[in-house]
Amino acid sequence: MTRFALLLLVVVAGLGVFSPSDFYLSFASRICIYGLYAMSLALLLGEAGLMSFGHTAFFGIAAYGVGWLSTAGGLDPWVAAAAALAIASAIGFAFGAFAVRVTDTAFVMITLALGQVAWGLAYRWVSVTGGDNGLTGIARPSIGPADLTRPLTFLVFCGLVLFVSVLAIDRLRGSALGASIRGVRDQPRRMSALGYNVWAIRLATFVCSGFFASVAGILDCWQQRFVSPVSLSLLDATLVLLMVVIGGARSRFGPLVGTVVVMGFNEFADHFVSRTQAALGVVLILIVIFMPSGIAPWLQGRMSSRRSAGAPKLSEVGGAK
Amino acid sequence: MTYLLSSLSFGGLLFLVTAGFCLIFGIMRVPNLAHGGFFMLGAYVGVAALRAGLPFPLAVLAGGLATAALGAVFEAGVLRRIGNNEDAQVLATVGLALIIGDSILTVWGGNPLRAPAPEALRTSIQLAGAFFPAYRLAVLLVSVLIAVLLWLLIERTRLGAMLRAGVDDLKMTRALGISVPLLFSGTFAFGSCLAGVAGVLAAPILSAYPGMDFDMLPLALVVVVLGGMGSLLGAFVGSFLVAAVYVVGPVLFPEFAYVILFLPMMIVMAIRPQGLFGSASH
Amino acid sequence: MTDILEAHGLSKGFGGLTIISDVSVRIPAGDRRLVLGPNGAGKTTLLNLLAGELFPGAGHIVFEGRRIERLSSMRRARLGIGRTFQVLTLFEHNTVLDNVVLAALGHSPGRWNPFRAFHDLTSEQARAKSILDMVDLGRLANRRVSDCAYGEKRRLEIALVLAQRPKLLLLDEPFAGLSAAERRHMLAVITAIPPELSIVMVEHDMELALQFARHVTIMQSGRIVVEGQKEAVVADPKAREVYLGH
Repeated sequence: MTRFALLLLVVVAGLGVFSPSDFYLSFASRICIYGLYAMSLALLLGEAGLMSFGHTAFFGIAAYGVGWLSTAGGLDPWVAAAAALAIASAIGFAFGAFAVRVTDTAFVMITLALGQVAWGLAYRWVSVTGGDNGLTGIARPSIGPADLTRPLTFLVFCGLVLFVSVLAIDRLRGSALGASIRGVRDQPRRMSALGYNVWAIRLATFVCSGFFASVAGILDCWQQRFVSPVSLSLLDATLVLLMVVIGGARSRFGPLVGTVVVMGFNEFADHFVSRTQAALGVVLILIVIFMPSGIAPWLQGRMSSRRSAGAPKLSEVGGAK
Repeated sequence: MTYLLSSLSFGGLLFLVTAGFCLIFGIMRVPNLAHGGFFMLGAYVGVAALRAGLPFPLAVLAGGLATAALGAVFEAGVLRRIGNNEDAQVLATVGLALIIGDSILTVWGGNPLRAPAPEALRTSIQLAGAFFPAYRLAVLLVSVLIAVLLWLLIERTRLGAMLRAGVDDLKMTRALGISVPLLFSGTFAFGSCLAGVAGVLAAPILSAYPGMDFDMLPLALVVVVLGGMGSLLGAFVGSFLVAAVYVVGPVLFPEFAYVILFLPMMIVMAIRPQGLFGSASH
Repeated sequence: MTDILEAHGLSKGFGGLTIISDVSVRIPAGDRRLVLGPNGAGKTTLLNLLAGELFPGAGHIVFEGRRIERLSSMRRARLGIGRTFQVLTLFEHNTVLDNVVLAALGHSPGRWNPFRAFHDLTSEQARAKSILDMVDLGRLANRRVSDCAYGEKRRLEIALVLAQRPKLLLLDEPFAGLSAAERRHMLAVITAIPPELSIVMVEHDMELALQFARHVTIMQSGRIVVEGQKEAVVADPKAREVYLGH
């Protein structure tokens, strides 16, 4: 699967170099950004088993944070980004401390409420957020000689951030902490009896996951040079969840596959499917019924059964796939 | 003062939607995130029926039947196949919400559709020195009536007793001779019907517009949380409280209207997950 | 001999129904205590009270000189109380070895380490392997739990609790659902547990459990009816009444 993912990456990057249309470059950047967003959500849903409809809050708070701080606040983009990350993480920590005390439906509802509060603020707090019109004229930073305003450079930057983040998330999943997170997902009662602090582990996952979503939000703000309440809407929250589920919440790179599927679909499918959102709804239902672990594990199963007809290969990271 | 009646009539509508949601959640343990979609579908079907010349009561019936039918089909065709996986069920309802929303856009386009109130109710009634639109008063009365009927159904009939017993133990329900699949389909259909009826009733007030599904759903969730997941009384009281905040809030605190709506919900959820009226078993 | 655990006047009720009332027990260090009683006697509730899954309505519990009745099960685990579950709560998709490693990790600060790979925890793995040998699951270390037989899973439960470095083990019906051969195997495993650990076992199956026991406590309808050294309790007519009366 790793080899397949790397191949895909090379193809995508190669296309970017050889057909450098601005549209494609910015689309590829958005795929990197939403890929990171989806991976962060997968950390929460897949590893910890917590379904959040409010992950947009992290994305949006960080995006608005860096947007506002670098325009009205007059800060340097990097400083603004760091501050936005800190703010989003702090809010995530405070909120998470309450939210992870409950599970299942209660968690769905409380995170949905968070998402709606964030959206409502973005929409109504016009004096700060610009309301429906959002914040415009946000400048991208530069890294030394590299000018991120050029689409190709920005794509490379996004790709690098995605790469590093995916490595970090993968490391986390394979670590002792990762094993505890999955343990808490599967048998919270047992984990408590073993001396693990279930609440603290869930909170740590929530904050980590929120951190990466915040990074994605900052990149998105720079990519569009614009922030608006749309990315905080319930619909957007649903779309990201869709990316995670379609790709496979518990699989290593599944969410990235899901991102490509959903975004590719949204972008190009309106040539042959008139209503992309309804189609995505149908896809979601079909996946949930027939391929509940998502596309990526199904693909992986297909590829390994072609390679070896023997015993099923145990997954690379010691958890349920 | 007009805000008062607006709050009350909106509260009535919100109660109908929430009651449907609570019913489905209470019996099937599925938070139906497509519930707003059923509300919207009811509104559009109602408007379509009215434009086709049907009298208002028939339009209400049309809206209710359409949503009930869709609900039953969805439950039998999708939810039943998924079985006990809660996460998967939630996601399936999300998928349905997307389908409903987009389909409505396809059929009826993006512009809001205004619906006329029934002829007889297009006047204003004078009460306590102020004028109130008769239609809104009627909506409030209908909602209260349905609330009372629901209460009677649940508290006083044999079916209601069985429902109450069945909520906590599915095996018991089977032992009492009730077919669980039928119960689930019926519940989902009935809950969706309530949302659909609310939608038709709402159409003359709010108009039918795209996005009304995701406008309404979070409000119902707030009511469910504040009022307690299994309590009809809680849903009733909560609906009017939330409606009042929703109607009056933006006037008093334009920038923080949503915050004052949702923050209490989050606090209650965190401290008392069963809501203000609910019992710990839920 | 000091007592490792003392419970005084424990009571527990649920919504008007009293499950346990005025129960007191003393567990000397290194004891092998068997708690018997018919269904509904309150044995599992007592165990859950000791383990921290339930808090008593009245009474207190002292563990190694410390009041613990308001402590969560997580804190009690860290103090040295380990428990098994009647219903299997294993990590079915992981290997047998990984299950024990995860259990062993529970009291080590390394469990928070996001950098070290779970599969590189060599010292925990070594310890896990020796525990698996103690419960005779050594050769199954790399098998997925879902592929294991029920008897093997039950012994894995014991391995998990041993991995916690407990001072007191609370075993919840360890013989439940096992075949005759598996029961003897389980008895051998439990008997081999080091004597410095204290064990409280709740059981239904008397025959085998009595072989393990040193002291016996018999409960009925939420109260202790007979208690004392095994031989004395077995001979006590009250004990026979509890069981023959049903």
